Amino acid sequence: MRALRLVLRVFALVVLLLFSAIGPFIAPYSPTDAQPLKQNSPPDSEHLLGRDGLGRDTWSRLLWGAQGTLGSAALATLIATLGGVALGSVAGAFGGIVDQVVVHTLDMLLAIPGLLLALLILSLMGDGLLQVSLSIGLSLMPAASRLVRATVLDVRSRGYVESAYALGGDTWWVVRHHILRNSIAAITSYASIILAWSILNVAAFDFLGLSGDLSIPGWGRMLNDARSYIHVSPMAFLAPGFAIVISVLSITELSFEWQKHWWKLGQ
Amino acid sequence: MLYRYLRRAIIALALLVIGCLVVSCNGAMTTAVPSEIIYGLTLPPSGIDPHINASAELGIPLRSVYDTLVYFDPQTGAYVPGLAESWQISGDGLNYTFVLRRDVKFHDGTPFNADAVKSNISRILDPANNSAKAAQLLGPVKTVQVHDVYTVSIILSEPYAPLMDGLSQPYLGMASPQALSTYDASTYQFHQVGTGPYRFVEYVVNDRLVLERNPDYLWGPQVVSNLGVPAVNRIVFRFYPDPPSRALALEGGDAQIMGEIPPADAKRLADSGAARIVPVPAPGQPLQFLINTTRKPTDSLAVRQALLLASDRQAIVQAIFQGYSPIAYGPLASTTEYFDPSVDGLYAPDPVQAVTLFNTSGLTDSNGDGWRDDQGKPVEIVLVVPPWGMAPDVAQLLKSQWENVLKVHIKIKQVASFPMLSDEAKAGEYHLIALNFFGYDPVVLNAFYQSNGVRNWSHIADSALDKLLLSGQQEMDPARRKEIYAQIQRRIMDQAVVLPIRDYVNLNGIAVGVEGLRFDAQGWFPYLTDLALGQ
Amino acid sequence: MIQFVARRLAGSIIATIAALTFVFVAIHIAPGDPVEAALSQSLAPRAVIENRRRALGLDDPLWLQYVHYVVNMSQGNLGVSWANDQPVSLVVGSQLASTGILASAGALVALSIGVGLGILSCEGPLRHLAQSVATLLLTTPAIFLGTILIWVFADLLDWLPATGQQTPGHWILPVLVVGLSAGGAVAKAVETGVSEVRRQPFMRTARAKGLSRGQVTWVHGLRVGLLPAIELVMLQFGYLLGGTVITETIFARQGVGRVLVIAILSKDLPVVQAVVLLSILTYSFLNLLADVLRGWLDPRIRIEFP
Repeated sequence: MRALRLVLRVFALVVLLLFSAIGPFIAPYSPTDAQPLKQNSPPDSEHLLGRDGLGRDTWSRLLWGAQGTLGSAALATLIATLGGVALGSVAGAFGGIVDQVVVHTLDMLLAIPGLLLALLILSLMGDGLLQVSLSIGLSLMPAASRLVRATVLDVRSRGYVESAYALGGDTWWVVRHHILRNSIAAITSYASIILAWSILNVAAFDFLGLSGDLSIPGWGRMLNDARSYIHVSPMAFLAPGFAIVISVLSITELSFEWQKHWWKLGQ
Repeated sequence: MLYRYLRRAIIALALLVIGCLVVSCNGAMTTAVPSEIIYGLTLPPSGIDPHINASAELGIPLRSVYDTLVYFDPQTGAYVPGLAESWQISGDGLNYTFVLRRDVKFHDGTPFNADAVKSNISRILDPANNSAKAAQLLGPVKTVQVHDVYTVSIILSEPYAPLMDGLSQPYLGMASPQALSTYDASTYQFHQVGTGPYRFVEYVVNDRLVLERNPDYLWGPQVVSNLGVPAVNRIVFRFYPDPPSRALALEGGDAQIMGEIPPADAKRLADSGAARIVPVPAPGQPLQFLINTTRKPTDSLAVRQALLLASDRQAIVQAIFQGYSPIAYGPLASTTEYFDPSVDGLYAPDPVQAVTLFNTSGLTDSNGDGWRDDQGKPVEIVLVVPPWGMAPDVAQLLKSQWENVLKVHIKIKQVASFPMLSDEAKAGEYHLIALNFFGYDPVVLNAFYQSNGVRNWSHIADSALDKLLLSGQQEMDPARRKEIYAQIQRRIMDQAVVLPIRDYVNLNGIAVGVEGLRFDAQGWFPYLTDLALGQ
Repeated sequence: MIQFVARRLAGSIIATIAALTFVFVAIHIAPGDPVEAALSQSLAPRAVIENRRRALGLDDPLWLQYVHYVVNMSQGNLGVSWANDQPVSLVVGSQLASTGILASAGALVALSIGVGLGILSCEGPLRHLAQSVATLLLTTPAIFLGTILIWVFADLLDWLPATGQQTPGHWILPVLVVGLSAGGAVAKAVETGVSEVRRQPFMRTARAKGLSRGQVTWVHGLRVGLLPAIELVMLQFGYLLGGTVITETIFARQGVGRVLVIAILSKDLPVVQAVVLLSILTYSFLNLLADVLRGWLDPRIRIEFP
C-alpha cells in the first residue's frame, strides 16, 4: 500500500517534470492565439479544457505555463534553501558572535513581510521570470535560514554532538558529519514548505500584475484572468488552480516520504 | 484524549461560525440608517483636494459638494447659470465677466461672493500649491478683478476657448475662503467646505468618504431635476480596487451604486436583472495605443498603417467589452465636443492591404522561418500596457491578430503603476504604449500631439499640427473651432500615430430601488442631488 | 533576564536602522519617479512636476535625503505620503486594526487547524487523510481558495457576504482563507516536530518510567514538538501581514497589505517606511515571545537560556 502511494507520487512528479520540459512541444494550440468570438467555450473534443475569456485554448496555456510557474518557483526554492542552509548552519554551528550577527541581519530582513521584501527586490531588478525567481528566492532565504538554524541548535543540543566536540573534532567536521546529516530530514521538510510559499508568491506576483512579460502564461496569471469569467467558464479558473495544487501536492508528498526514508537511514 | 481535544475545538469553531451567521443575518434583515446610499468607487491613490489633485475619482463625490460658476447642458450644447447668473465674454476672448447669484451660502455659513471667486482662483494658481489639474483648466489667467460684491472678471493673457468647460468642472468648484485660510494646502482635503447640495462630513483615508445633504440648498442649476435639498440623507463612498469584487458588492447589498463594473459582470447583472446597468460614455480620448514614430519599424508610416489595418477592433470590442463600447476610429471619443464623424471607419480591417503595406517597408521573411526579419534578426514589436482599462487583454488580442496576419513577433510588457509606465515612456524602448486622457473639450489632444506636449509619447513633430492645435485652443468662434478640430483629427489619423480601440463607457450598476442617477457632460461625475430611494 | 532583553532590544534597534536603510536605498534606486504617482490623470507642465520634486526634497543629493530621513524617523515624525499629501499616520493607522485582527484571527485559526491536523497526522486511523488534507491546504494558493469560497458560499449558496467588513459575518470567509492557507504549513511542522520527538531517547525513558502513551505524547512530546510550529507561526505572522494582501484585495477590505503594495509601486517612501517600521516592531515582539516560549517549552534549551 505504501509502495503504491510512493509509486503514484513519483509518477505524478515525473509527469509534471515531463510537462514542464516538453509542454510547449505537445501543446495542440499556441497559448496566445486568441479566438475572441469563441470565448469561454466549454470543453469539447478539440479543446480538452475549453477556452478562456479571450478564446485561447486552456489546455495549451496550462502546458506552457508549467515551465513558467514551476520552473520559477523551483529556482526560487533552490536559492532560498541553499542560502538558508549555508547561513543557518553557520550561525547555529558556530554560535557566539557569528550567530548574533547573522541573526540580527536575518531579523532585519524578516521584519519586512516576505511578499513585500520580494517586491522591493524585484523593483530593483526589473522585470522578467528570472528576476521574479531571484527576488522570491532571496526574500524567502531569511525564513529558511531561521528554520535551519533552529534545527541546527536542536541537533547541537543532543548528546552526541557534544561528545563529538569532546573527542576533538573541529567545528566544520562536526557540522558536516553530524549536524547536517541529522538536519537534512528537517531541512527537506522545510524545503517543501518553501516551495509551497514560492509557488504562492509566484502566483501572487502574477495576480498583482508584476510578472512583466505577458507572452508566457503563468498559472497565477491564468487564475486572475479567469476570475472575471468564472460564472461562464469555471474550467478556465479551476484548471490552473488544480494544476498548482496537484503539482505542489505531489512534490511535497514526495519530499515527506523522502524525509521519512532518510530518517530511517539515520537510525 | 486525542479526540477529546479535537472534538472540543471543532465544537467551539462551529459555535463561532453559527454565532457569526446569526449576527450577520440579523444585520442583513434590519436595513441600515434610513435614506443612505453606499456608492462604490475604485481606489484613489492621490489626494482629494479638487484644486490641487487630479484624479477623476475625487470628482465623483465632490461634484456635489461644490457648485461651479457654470454648468454645461449637453442637450442644448450651451452653458447654463450655476453660481454665476450671467456672464459676458469680450470679443477678443480675453475678458470674462461674471455676475454672481446673491443667495448662496457656503456650508459654514459664510456668504459666496466675488471675493470668494478671487480667493479660489488665487489658491489654484499659487505655484506653491502645485495644482495638478485645476490650474491647467484655467489656462493663461493674467488676473482676477473684483468689480463689486457680486461681479468678478477673469482676465486672460491670451484667448483660451476651453475656459468655460474648465469652469464647469468640479476641479474649479468654489470653496469657502474661510475654510481655505483655516487649513493649509495638505489638510484642507479633510475639511472641505463648498456650496453644493451635499456637505463634506469626513474622509477616512482608503476607507470611506461621507457626504450629508445640505438642508439650506436652494440654488441648483437647470441641468438637474431637483433644484433644492436632495432626497437622500447620506451618501457613503467606499473603495473597491479589485474589479471582480465590484459586482459581488452590488449583488451582496454592500453597495447600492457601483462604478466601473467589468463588462462581463455587467452583462451578467443586466441579464439576470440583479441590478440595472447604466452605461455612461466618457468623452475625451478613447482607449488607445500611441505609436512610437522614432523607433524602427514603427518609424515607417506604412508599418503603422499596416498595424491599424491588421487590427480587428470589432472582435476586441465584442469579446472584451461585451459590445458595451463603440469602436473608436479617431483620436477623440464620439461624445467629445467637435468630434468629427468622418473618421468613422478609417482603417477598417483589411488584412491583405496590411500585409502589402508592411512588405513595402522592406521587412520580409528573408530566412524562411515564417517570421519577418530585419537582416536576419527577427522583427519584434513591443507593446507597453498599464493594468487598467483592460489594456492587457486588448494587447493580448492584438498580439494574436498581428502575429497571425503580419507574422511579426509581438512582445507585451505590462507595468504595474503609472510611475513605471512613465518610466517606460522616458526610456523609449516601446513601439506602442497605452495612455489616454478624458475631458469634454478637445483641447485634451494638445498634450499628446503637440511636439512639446508633456504626453507626446508618439514623438510626433508636425509643425502644421502644432499650429492647428494652438489655434484650436484659442479660437472663440464655435463654427471655426469645429472646422479646426476636424482637420486635426484627420491629420492625426493620416499619420497613423495612434491606434484607437474603443470609447470608454463607464458601466455603472444600480441596485433595485435606487432612482435618479444622472451624470454630467464629462461623463464621470454624477449629480447626486437627483438620487432617490424608490419604494 | 534583563541582560537578555536589553541585548535583544539593542539588536532590534540595529535591525530597524538596517531595514529602513535598505528600504530607503531600494525605493530610490528602483525605476519610477514618485512624483508621477499622483499624476496619471494630470497634464501638468514640467514646471509643476519639478516644483513638487523640490518640495518633497527629491532634488537634494541622496546623502542629504538620508540624513533628513533618519532625523525624521528618530523624532517619530512619520511625515506625509508622497502620493497624496495625507499624513502617513492616518494612511497606515486607519488600516491597522483591520489587518491586525485579520492576521491574528487567521493565525489562531491556523494554529488550531494546524495543531489539530498535525497531531492527527502522527497516529491513529485518520493519519493519511489528515496528512493529505494538510498538504492540500499547504499547496492551495489563497487566490484559488478565496475565489472558490466566494463562489460557493456567496454566489451559489448565498450564505455569507463576499465583500466589505461591516458585520462579524463579513469576517468569516477572509479569516478562513488566511487561516486555512497558513494552517497547512503549521500542520506539517507540527507533524514533523511531534514525530521526531517521539523517537527521542528522553521520550523512551518516559515510557519506560511507566507513563502511558497518551501522556508521553501529549505532556512531553507536544511541548517540544510544538517548537517548530511556534517558530513557523511567528514567521508566518510576518508573512501573514504581507500575505493578507491577496485576501484583502479579493474581499474588498481595508488593510495594511494593500496600502503597502500600492506604496511600493508608487514609490511612496514615507508610507513604505512606516509600515516596515511597524512590521519590525511587531516582529521583534513576536521573536521575543517565541524565544521565551521556546525556553519554557523545551527543558533542554533552558540550560542555555540565561
